Amino acid sequence: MKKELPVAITLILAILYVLANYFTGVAFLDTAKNLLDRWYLIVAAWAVLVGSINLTQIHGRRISGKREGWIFSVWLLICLYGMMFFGIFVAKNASHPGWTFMYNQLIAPMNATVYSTIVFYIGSAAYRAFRVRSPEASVLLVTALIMMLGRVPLGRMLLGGHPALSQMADWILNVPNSAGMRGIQIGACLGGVATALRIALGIERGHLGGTGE
Amino acid sequence: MWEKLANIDRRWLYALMIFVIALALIKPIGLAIVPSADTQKVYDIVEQLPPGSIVWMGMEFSAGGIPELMPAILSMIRQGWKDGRDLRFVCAGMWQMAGDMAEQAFSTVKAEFPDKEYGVDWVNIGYKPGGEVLLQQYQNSIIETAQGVDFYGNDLNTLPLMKEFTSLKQAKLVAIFCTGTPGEKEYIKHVTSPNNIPLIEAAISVSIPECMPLVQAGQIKGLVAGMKGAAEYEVLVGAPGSATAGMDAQSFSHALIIVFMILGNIGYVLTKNKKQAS
Amino acid sequence: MSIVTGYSFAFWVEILFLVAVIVMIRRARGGMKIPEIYKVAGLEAMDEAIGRCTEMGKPVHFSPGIGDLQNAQTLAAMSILGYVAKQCARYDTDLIATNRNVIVYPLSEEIVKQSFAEVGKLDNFKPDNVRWISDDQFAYATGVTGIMFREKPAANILVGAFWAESLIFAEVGSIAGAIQISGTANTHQIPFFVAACDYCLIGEELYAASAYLSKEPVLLASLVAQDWGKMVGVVLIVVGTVMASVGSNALGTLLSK
Repeated sequence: MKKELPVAITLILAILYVLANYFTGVAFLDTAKNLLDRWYLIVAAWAVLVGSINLTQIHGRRISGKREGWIFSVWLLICLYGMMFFGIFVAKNASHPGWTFMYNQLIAPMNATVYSTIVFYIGSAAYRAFRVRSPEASVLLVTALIMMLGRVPLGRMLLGGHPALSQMADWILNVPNSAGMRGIQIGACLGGVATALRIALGIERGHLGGTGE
Repeated sequence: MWEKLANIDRRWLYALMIFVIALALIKPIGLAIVPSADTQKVYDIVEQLPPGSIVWMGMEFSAGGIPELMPAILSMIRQGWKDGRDLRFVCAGMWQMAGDMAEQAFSTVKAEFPDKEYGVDWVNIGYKPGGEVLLQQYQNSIIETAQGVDFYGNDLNTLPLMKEFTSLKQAKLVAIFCTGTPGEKEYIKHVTSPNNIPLIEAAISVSIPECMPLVQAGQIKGLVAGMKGAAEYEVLVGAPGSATAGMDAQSFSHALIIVFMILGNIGYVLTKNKKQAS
Repeated sequence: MSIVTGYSFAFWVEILFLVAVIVMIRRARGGMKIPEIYKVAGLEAMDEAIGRCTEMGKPVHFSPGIGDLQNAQTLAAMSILGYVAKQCARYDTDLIATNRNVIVYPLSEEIVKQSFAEVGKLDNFKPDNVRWISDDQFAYATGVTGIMFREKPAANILVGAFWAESLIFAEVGSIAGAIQISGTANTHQIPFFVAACDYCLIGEELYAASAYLSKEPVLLASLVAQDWGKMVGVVLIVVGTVMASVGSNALGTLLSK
């Protein structure tokens, strides 16, 4: 029953959810869907507790064993529990000035900073990857050059104001790129539906810790 | 020597990148920005809205999207409010920072339009949990879905704009600003396609290739493409800002990457030839 | 009761697809010969990557992406995690599985534990190696970056739903010297993986992974049904192109019913 029960639950709920998405005017289906959405949110909220316990255990062991970099584990736990207690006992809602200060002045800039490191990684990835190793790689290189110059004002400036590069970049976006994107998306969507069907029907059980049937 | 060209230490690239971007931001040379057809389309769609129309602004992004999307938002608000056009904006989002982004945008622009009043000319509903389910529920009742309060905790029933605008279906235009999922596909699926409401989008550069099929299919009526599109929009609205300033930096960072790519390929080809010859 | 406006065609296509999958599964169970799948380099390289880690005495890093459990890519990644965990257990190689989503994390832990148990090496399972880093996208990216630099895995397997952090993972993995196998159906991240990783599963190859790795006839049969769906798509595209060229929008109208 350890494997059969989750599979049965998955099948029943999958049918309910799919039918609720397709059909309207059936009160039972709407209620079931709303209930499932709310249960998911509740489970997700409690799962944060599970994750926090895992983090605490891992970093607690690093601290107690004084492993390399253990001081950063101390800092992590201070930030984790500090913000948690502040949010629950002091701020109590997201519009508290202290809470918005922490979010807007600490978390948001840190997120933006890490996101900004992508500019460096794009540079080093482009330098490594765009080499004339093969005909396909050469096409990739030329396309990259056209796109990089065509999508900034520099391209126009290099050609004395002529829009040739941006026109080529637009053509690449509108024609081969769109065709490729559509093909990949159609294939990916079909694959997603097939995967969902396999899981709903209990044929694929890799996510339960087994392998297939 | 050629092998060195093919294997330049990446830290040189990182250092030069910082230098080039900083220099371009401190001493911009003002490369000419010519609006593209895509951005012009967005401008024309907003321009053709009857005065007083209500525009739904979906703030579907976080802090990382600010450089590329915030200039487009500011430009749209300026376009909507200047010359007596008096468009009205209702802002909400499925992303956690939706309210903060709307707050940042309107607090920046409000100083230029002192006659505009919160609750009359714009409302910031902010983020509400629920994901794409929200979009379906906003079509039934915005106030109920938003749990009766806006981003600042005000009762939505007391705001004049929300007495008129009770359902998302009443929007004359849906303008979304997206960096990922949930984003345009959710709006197309739940809002704009079923209700025939035009959708325009400002998206980050990375998302543009994915959006092109939707633009070609007419599901997205107009697209502001990345920081370049935002800079073009600023030019059209007549208020150059951070996107325009950022284009020089973007241009030169692209040029630096291209130089490194060319050097790497020269090193690769000559090293390969040398190995083949020997 | 009625079908939501605009969803009729999609509903009937999904029913047809479901019938096709069921038919193929029944035929596979009945012993029908399944056509061979072409070699997917990324999936073939999984064993090579794990073997590299075993020889070098370094761990494997696995990330199932940042999507939640509602995302089919995450579920596909879980199947691959099961396979990778089993192989790591067999060869006594450490597996570090990091997670961003709190609901995915206990699932990852259970899968890895089960996989170790199935090869009789439950004692080697280390709970500390299955980690929830953070629910925040870039905090997760930073955490994984730290793991890559500190623990220096020799293989970096990134399969699932990725967004902006994909290039961070891939480049940092490259700096750490890991062999990298990636896969996602998020089209906006595929170019980054193709450029920065050694192997990349594109789109549906990710979903085919569990069938490909397990070689189970029933799972492979569902891939055949998937291909039928693609062929129907191709026919619709060709017919639609011809009809649109002669000025008819009948197919467009039918598809949007």
